[in-house]
Amino acid sequence: MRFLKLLFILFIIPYFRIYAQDIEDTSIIKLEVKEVTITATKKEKEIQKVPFPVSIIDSKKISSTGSSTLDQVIKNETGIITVPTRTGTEGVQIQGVDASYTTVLIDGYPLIGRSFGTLNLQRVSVNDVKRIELLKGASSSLYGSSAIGGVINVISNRLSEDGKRFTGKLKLGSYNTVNPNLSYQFKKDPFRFSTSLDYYETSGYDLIKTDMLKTVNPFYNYTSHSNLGLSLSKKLILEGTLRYYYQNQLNTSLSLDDEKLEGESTIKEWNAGYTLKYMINNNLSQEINIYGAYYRTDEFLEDLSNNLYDQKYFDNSLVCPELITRYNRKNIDVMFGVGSENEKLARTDFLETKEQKLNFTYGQIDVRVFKFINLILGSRFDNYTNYDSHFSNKLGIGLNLSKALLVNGSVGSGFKTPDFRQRYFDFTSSTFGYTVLGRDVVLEELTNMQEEGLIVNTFIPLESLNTPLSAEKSTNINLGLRYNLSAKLNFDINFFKNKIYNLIETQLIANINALPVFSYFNVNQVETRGLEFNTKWNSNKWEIKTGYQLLYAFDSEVKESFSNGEIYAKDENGISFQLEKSDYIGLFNRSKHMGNLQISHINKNSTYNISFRYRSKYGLSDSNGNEVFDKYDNFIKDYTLCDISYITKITKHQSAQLGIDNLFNFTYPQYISNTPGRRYYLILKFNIK
Amino acid sequence: MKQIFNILIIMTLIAGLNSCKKDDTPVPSNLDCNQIANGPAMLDSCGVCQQAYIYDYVSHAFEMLDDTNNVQLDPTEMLIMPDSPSNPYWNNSCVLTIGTFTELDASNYTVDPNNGTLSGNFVKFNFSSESVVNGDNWDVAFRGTTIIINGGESSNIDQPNRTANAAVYIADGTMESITEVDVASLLQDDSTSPAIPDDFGFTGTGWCTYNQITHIISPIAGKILVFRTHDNKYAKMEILNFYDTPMTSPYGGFFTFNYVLTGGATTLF
Repeated sequence: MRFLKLLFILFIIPYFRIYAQDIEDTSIIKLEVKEVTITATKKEKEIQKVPFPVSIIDSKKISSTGSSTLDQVIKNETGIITVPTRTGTEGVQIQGVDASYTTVLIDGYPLIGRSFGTLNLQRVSVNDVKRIELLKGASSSLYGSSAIGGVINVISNRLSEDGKRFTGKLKLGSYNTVNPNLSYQFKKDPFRFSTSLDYYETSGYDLIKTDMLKTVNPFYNYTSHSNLGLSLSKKLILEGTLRYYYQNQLNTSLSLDDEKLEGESTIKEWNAGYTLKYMINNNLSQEINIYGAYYRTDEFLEDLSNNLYDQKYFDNSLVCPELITRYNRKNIDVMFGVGSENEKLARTDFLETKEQKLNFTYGQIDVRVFKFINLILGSRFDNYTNYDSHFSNKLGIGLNLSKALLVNGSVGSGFKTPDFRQRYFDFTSSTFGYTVLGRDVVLEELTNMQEEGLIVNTFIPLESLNTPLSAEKSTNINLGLRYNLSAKLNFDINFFKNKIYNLIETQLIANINALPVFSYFNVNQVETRGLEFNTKWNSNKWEIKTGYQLLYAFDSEVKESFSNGEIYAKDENGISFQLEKSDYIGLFNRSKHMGNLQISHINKNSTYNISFRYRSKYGLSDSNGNEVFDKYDNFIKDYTLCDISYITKITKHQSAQLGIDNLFNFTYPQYISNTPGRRYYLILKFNIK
Repeated sequence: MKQIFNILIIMTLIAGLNSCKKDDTPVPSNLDCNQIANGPAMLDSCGVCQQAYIYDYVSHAFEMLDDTNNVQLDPTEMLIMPDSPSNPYWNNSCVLTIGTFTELDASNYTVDPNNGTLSGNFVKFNFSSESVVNGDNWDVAFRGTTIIINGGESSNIDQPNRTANAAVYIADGTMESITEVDVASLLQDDSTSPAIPDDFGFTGTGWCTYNQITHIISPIAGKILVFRTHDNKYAKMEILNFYDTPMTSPYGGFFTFNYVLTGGATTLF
């Protein structure tokens, strides 16, 4: 509470002070600056010239949504949905590709600490963010493993011109949400520095009141994030970033006898990246990157008499040095990178700390021919010391048919190496008794069990476990165009296709007594395809943005089984009937149609925003006895979410924002755990320059 | 009466097997289905070989005949030809018994999560009587998700002894589409595991699936259990539900199933 009081003093007092000096808001002057992206090619490039599907969420857009964290912002984007994971966190689905195939970067550096393969986007605060770049489609040619669905890059605020800026922000909202943020940016050549401190606290929410557990338990977290830049000479620049995140959440569960268990779970995370850039001459430069990341969770549960019931930890680290050489002339940009990566994971249910070493090298050529054709060719080789090596390629072609029209196409490959869990897991459920063994330890463990005299009844020949898992691989095709019809109206359309094969899933391999033992196998092949359409219109006072995605996502083998008449379903009486080819709908948790509409009305001192997000019906799990999604299954009905907000300027450097998220109070307690009911919030913000 | 009936069944079965064997070589046209030259035995429309017999309507004694020539009848005896309207066995095995058994209670079992051992009694079912039985005259028995048959070997000391020659396999299809028993697919329980895989619904190779999130056991759609019963009839079964209504136990073990039983040794449903 004392912390809260302190924050109020910090915020409310400056709020009522009047500042004598008037400094023009620099964002108005910079309106003419063209949108750039750094994620698509690892160098700043005008978005209108990038032949890959990229979208940018700028700071204005972020603040209009009143969002605190990355998951809240990103779900307003076309074709993006955030999906709750098994541990209650939120991952992101891009182009219908599952959440575990996305890479998330902060200032270009990758986050680690995946839970069931998925990065939790709630970890990333967006209060001090300049823009978020969203690169869709396989991008392993630049980013290596896990960049199958796409790459999200969160770029923090920094000043590009000399000056300083101090921003304070306080958000108060439903569910006792308190989210203050302080940030400071300073630039005076040759030095640039920015830092921010973010605190977030909420009491969580409970969608199902009748059970003993809350849907989301109360938690608090804070993030401190700093960036610095120093021009040591005209030719030598040092840049650094440092981020620390801590979260503490109440942990609850039920014991086998339905007794309530209570404890705590904490997350600690460090990210530190340093770059030294050296401009050798006008055309040639080199940079050395060193990046380190550390992610640790600890959790425990106690019964009512404070006896320890369960305890877990997860300790993940990454060190990654990299050397990049860039060469550019008038019509050609060449980049060449070499680096290595050393990732370690120690956790409960691992026999020992596991390590994965990687050496990689990549190159990219960006050429402009006949003035209007842009060719980008990228290639990367990942050489794992204890694992298969991989080549990933990407080719993009952009045709600037006019200044306003870009037609583009790209083909890329992606891969995801089996993660530590799929290789080294050694887990036995205390509640249900089943065992899961990673592919690299399964044979040894089964043999040990047999030697110990446990009855092991195997369902598959043990020799088939001798071969290691293959990486999950993908190919991705995009074909699109971007057209700026006028300064007021533009649109883009993109057709996409993703094919992911060698998908890794668990399968039963043996019984110990009567309890099942699972391991990991490469089994399925899935395909997603569809199109995305976005358009934006703006006048002096209005801005209207709308987007639509059509999506077909299916499992290729299941589709074939349907064609062969091998799939049956049960009716409401439990009686089976045969299904036809046309009865197959596709993958779970994919909507065929998704759309969004955002309208802003901008006055001199105030802005009104309203946004809608629509999802057509979809399925979450099988309901008629065949484990696949067919037209006789239960659907989650289509729904629309609506957020509104009102922003008003009080003085030149003070503003207030009032908003309601989920205006229609839509909830679906049993099935949609990440959508609480209607939420109100107030944001107070000030700026000193 | 019962003894005679059994004899009759065994004889028809032998006849049936014999006819199978001979299928490979051309059969002389003057052999009947009982392999008697110019004999009176005939296949009924269920594919079962029926013989002529002498019936004593006072003592109710039967005498099976290979040959009806020169038969001497006592005053209380009568000659019954296979396809005679007075022969109750003619087409008898095509008379199907169709039924639904609701909530067979096999829920009295426990799993020890530490070592995976299951304990509890098996509940035995007899198709011919369409009821739960206590004796050795059972065809199939249930405990939790485990299904065993009265044929083969026991894989666990908790299981009742096998006393008959029942067998089973899981067919893909619907109750309507499974019209004939594929005798070659029939399996018996063995000392390592029952013929119907006891996988708790984890592999999809048994009769059910287990949802790890909702913890619900569901019968797999399109799985029909095809049995040879302890009394050498054939049956097909579709499990409709594993829980009682209203639900009294989240662990289930209440089997509701549809079944069709042949009247005899015919493999046609």
